[in-house]
Amino acid sequence: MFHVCPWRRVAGCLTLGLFSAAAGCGGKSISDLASSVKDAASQGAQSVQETAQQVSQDVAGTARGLADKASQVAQLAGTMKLAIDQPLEISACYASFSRLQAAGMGVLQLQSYRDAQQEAFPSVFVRVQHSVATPAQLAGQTFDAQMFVQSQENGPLWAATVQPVQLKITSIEERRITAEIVGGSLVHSTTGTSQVVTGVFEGVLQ
Amino acid sequence: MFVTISRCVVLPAALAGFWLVLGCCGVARGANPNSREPTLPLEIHNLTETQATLKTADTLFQSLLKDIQAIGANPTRVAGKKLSDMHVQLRQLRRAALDLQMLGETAGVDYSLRANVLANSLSSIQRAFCSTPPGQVYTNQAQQYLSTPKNVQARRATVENVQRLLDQQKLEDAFKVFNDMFDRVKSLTVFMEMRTEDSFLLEFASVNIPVTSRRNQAFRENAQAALEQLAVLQMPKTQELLQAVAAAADALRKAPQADVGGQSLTGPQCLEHFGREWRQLHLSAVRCRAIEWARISGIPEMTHPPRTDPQQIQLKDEILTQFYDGLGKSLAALIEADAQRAAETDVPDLYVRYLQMLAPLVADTSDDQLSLAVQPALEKLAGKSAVFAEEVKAYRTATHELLRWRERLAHARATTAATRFQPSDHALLEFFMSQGEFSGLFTASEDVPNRATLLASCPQIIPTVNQRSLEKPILVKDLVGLTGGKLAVARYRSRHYATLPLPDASAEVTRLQQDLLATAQQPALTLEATVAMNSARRGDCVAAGGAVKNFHIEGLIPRFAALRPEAQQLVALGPLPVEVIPLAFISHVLVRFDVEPAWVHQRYFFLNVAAGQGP
Repeated sequence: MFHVCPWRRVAGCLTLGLFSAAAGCGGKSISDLASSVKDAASQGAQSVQETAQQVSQDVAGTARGLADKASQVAQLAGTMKLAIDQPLEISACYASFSRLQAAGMGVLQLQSYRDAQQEAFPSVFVRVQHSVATPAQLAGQTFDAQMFVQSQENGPLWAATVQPVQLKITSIEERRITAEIVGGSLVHSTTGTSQVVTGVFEGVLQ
Repeated sequence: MFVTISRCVVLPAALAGFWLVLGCCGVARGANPNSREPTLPLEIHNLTETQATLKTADTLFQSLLKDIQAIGANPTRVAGKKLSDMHVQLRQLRRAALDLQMLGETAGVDYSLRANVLANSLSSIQRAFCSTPPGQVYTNQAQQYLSTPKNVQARRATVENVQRLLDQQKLEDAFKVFNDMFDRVKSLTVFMEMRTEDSFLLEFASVNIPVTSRRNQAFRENAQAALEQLAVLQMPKTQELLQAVAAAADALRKAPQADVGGQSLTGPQCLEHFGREWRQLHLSAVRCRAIEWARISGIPEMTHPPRTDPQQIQLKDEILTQFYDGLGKSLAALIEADAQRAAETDVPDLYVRYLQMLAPLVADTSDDQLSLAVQPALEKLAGKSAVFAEEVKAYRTATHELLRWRERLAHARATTAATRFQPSDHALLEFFMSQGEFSGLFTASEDVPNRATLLASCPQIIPTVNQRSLEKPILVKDLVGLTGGKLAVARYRSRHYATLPLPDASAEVTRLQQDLLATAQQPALTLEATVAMNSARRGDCVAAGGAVKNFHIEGLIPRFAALRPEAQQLVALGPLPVEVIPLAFISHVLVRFDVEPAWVHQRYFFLNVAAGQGP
């Protein structure tokens, strides 16, 4: 009676698999997982055990993928609210803090896309050079910032490069960063016209 | 070499016409016919010792031109003897022009076309002269002179002598003896009626064609043999270089230095050494291909040219393409071998020195093949030190996106600026297109400028093109900075290149350097950033727009057959520019534009010269 029936392990794994599938995760489908175990069961207990272990690993992998996706969703929570010639609101703000140990300086970047491959338009990129050691030390400081905004792919840009905008880092709490443009203008790449820019950023440090 | 300070000003074509424009300048060696000096000879490669022949041709041309200009105003008052002498000179000019062509010099085609124009003018003068009483007297005297027994006997003796020399295979002697006599006779018979002239010339019928044909065929074959030897000397030794890089890589896997050419070199020094070798090999390849063009080219004016087959070209484009691919991989393998052996503490210095050696090479290629090939090896090297790898990663994070946005902004600004500037390949076609009475470099049916050919002589072409092109705004691409960022050359493509003075970009370069967090003590830590700074300092540009201030016509073969090392940047490292292979490469040319820039588009910034604005 202490012998564990292989079928009970199978049932447990199936439950997990069902849960994963119900959660809408990627990886193997419920029918794939179930049929793997059923096929193994028809080949004997040892095979069922090995297959069940494999299924467990698959499920664990799927669960990790879920966690990653959840994390990505959380990181998408940032926003950019800008006003140039017209209001511009983007539901993403990815922040990155880097520091070069040897040079004793670094860069804070705020961008509307996770990476270049996933860039969508309108696209925004803001860059600040700093000399602080940790992100927390940015809080409360105002920096010169280079800023680029492009509404359409291959279209004209609004940019502040030679004359930077003023960016105030209003707060940094854990991985959340808020910043505000407190002065400066952007220049249009086609017309050369200058336009005052305002805006707030709520970003998530990567 | 790219800047020529011209001494002359082109006279208005409407006032002066072709002849006056022709006559405004003397010869300056080392230049080419250009908008300010249209009568300069096309520069020669001189690989087949053509300098003396060019000098002969140019002296004859200038002398005839001067005389025709002087006589042309009042042709009825010329002395008959003078016209006869000019006929002799014209024949000598034609022979010199053909010799130049057979020796592989495009200048010969130009002088041949110039001779045609001179011949037309001389014919007009001669017709006017013959209608005058002195002209009729001179013609009669010429006929009587040629008919004297003494002269008849002299001609017979000459013909016999020429035949004897031909039988003895003394072709050059036969050619000279024949032409000395034939020129003198022809210079007198040209005034006579055709039937009378023929009666005198018939005396030479037995040797006329054989001596010219056999001598020229032998002359051309000798020139081809010499050109073949020169091509063999320049043939790039691609396998040798690949093997040398592989041997150095093997050595670096075991020790921090490799023996290369008797020198003990570190990995980065090896890279620098092989970079120099690569440039030398590339220069040889460019020269070799052009020398082979000279060897296989048909000579349109030759009656019986030696048979040549374009497929005989030994330097195949595929060889260089394969070599380019192979060298990138070999250099990457060398870095990887060094990385495998390097101690963790040596990594930062080694890595930075590799970047500094690679950056100029990458900038001298026209694509990203080399940088992509070496990138994994650089990452492996950095990865030998976990701390340094993190530093490189942080640096990439801090600079890559900015460079991407800078590039995007510069491109957007250049796109806006470029709307008022005609792309140079279109402009070239438009400026030099034949139309109506005008013959240029392209026929009306051509829609891409890859077959620029002398359809008329340079002095005929240039005045019309001056009107079409000077001060016109054009857009040139792919520029390489020279002379410390003061001058740039738009690399050769589609039968043209361009030079332009660069505006002072030092403020922009400094800003870029600051953006890339680079100082003398803390250099850039990615190949992308290192190349960006090197190229910006050198003055490399994606494009530039500006007004045409001057243009020069150059022979395609001499431009590349004797390409000087300082002009090597005309052709990027890697595969050679594609050329269609015509039957008569000898008459093909290219155009150099001198451009005054209104704006320049460097990869990571845009500079409006007029406004002095940065990005």
